Amino acid sequence: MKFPRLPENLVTPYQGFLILGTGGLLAALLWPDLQTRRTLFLQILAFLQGILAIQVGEAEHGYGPIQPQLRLARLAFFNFLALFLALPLVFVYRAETGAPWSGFLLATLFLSAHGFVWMGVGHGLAGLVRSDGVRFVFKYGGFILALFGPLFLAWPVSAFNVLPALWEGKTGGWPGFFMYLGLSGVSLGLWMRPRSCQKG
Amino acid sequence: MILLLVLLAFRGFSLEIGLELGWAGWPVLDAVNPLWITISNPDSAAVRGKLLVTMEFGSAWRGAGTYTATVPFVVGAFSKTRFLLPWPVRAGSFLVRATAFSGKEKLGEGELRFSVEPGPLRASVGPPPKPVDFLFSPADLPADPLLLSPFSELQVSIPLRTSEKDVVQAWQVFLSGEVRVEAEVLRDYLAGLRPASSRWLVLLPGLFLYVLGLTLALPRLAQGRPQLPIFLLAVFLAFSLVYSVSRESANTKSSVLIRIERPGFTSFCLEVLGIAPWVNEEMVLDGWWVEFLPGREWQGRDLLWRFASEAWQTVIRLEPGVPRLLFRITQEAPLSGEVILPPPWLSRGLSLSWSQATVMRAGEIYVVRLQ
Repeated sequence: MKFPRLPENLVTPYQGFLILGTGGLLAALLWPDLQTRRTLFLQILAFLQGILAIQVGEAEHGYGPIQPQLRLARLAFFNFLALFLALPLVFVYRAETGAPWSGFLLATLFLSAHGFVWMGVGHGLAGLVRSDGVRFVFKYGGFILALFGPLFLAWPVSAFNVLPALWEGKTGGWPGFFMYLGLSGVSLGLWMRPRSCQKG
Repeated sequence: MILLLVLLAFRGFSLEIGLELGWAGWPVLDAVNPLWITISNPDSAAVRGKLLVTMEFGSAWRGAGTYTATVPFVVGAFSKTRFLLPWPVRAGSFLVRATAFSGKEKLGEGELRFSVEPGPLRASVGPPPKPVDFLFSPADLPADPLLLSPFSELQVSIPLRTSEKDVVQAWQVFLSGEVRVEAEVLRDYLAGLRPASSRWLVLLPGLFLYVLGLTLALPRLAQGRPQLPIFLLAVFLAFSLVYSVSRESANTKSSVLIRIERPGFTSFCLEVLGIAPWVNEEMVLDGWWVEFLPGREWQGRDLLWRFASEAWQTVIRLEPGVPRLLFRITQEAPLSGEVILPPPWLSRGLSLSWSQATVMRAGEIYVVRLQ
């Protein structure tokens, strides 16, 4: 089995994701408030994964013209690499918070969809916005807005409240779960379009 | 034919259900009020069934919950049966509904809309020396002192029998302010409890090795040599999965039971039970327990009281991360155990005259004995 080669400029973001994710797990487990302790790691993980996915999507745009299927395979590998790097931490967190296995499975499914969506955003913005500064504001500003905006409006579609709700088996997580599943389908569909082969 | 159909459609229930809440019909907010339910059977056949009593409380801002009680009943031909339930009245509650069922068939329904008294009432047993809201005859005194919680004053002006005196003295010790439970302090203490502490001796070295190993191995993915990072990832995945499964059997909740008693003065004791759940589960407690509610976040703080095996049980749906604090007044034999100094959380969690109290530890129970 041949694995895609990780671009050199993505090694540090993956290492950072791993180190900060582990730090996030320890911070969550040591947090004094019981309720925060049950959700903090998931929120940290969603934040770190979103940032990493945007960077991967952007880096992939610079990889050059390739077949759509190959592009999809590469992005899927990078997305699942991040997920698998986080998985041992999620296993530990499940044990320490007593979350059900169904919650664990839904949370990992949500994280994979979340990764695909933000990879799509990173990839798309790299093609649409030429200015580095404007692109920086758009990609990270948009991500922060997508995380915090729904919290202020009390919409259950932010990864910050969807992930803990899925984890605890609450129905409040379903709208955000299905929204991200749908958006990840759109993201995958856009990569599969033949023109991404020419544009790169 | 049409008349028959109309009659069938508007057929009345076979039972009549009447409800009365509160002493003299005045339910007091945040107190356990008496709820009398009378089932009348106007038919010539006895009826056996189950009574379901429900009341919603709270609001969109505080969160809403439901109190439910189920009790089996038998009511003879042309007769009545009456139940008395210790019913907590909360902010946002204004309707209590009772429905009688036999299997799935609804036999009768009654409801009571009420408005609550914001403050406690004053009562007297016997002729009152000053005006009161409610006058008890000794026969009216409830067997459960909890039902006297709507009163801030209870004057006794006539001699009482021992059992009646016992109830009044239980009210005096546990409900009139001599002992006060600082629920927020106890809830804070519960929030810090965990059923089983993390296995840091395994966890910390494991996480350190994981981060170190993968951080060093990740650059190999960029060099087209993925074997080592994938091997390491597989090893740590397997270890973490084993860790996760091995912790399945860890306790799912922590709890603390405090019993406050004053032997020789009253045979009743106040029990306060704090639970810090770690997983979603249902817990069944013997007896009729009532919850100390926090200021808000009432969503899901439902309680179900059911009469089963000739006794009441309280069923609580536990949610992870949501500590629950319940209490009841019961008659138990005095416990003895190892005398200890009151832990700081206990001395802050109970307002009482600590200089006249002894704390004992009897297994998992903290016994506070008042002199």
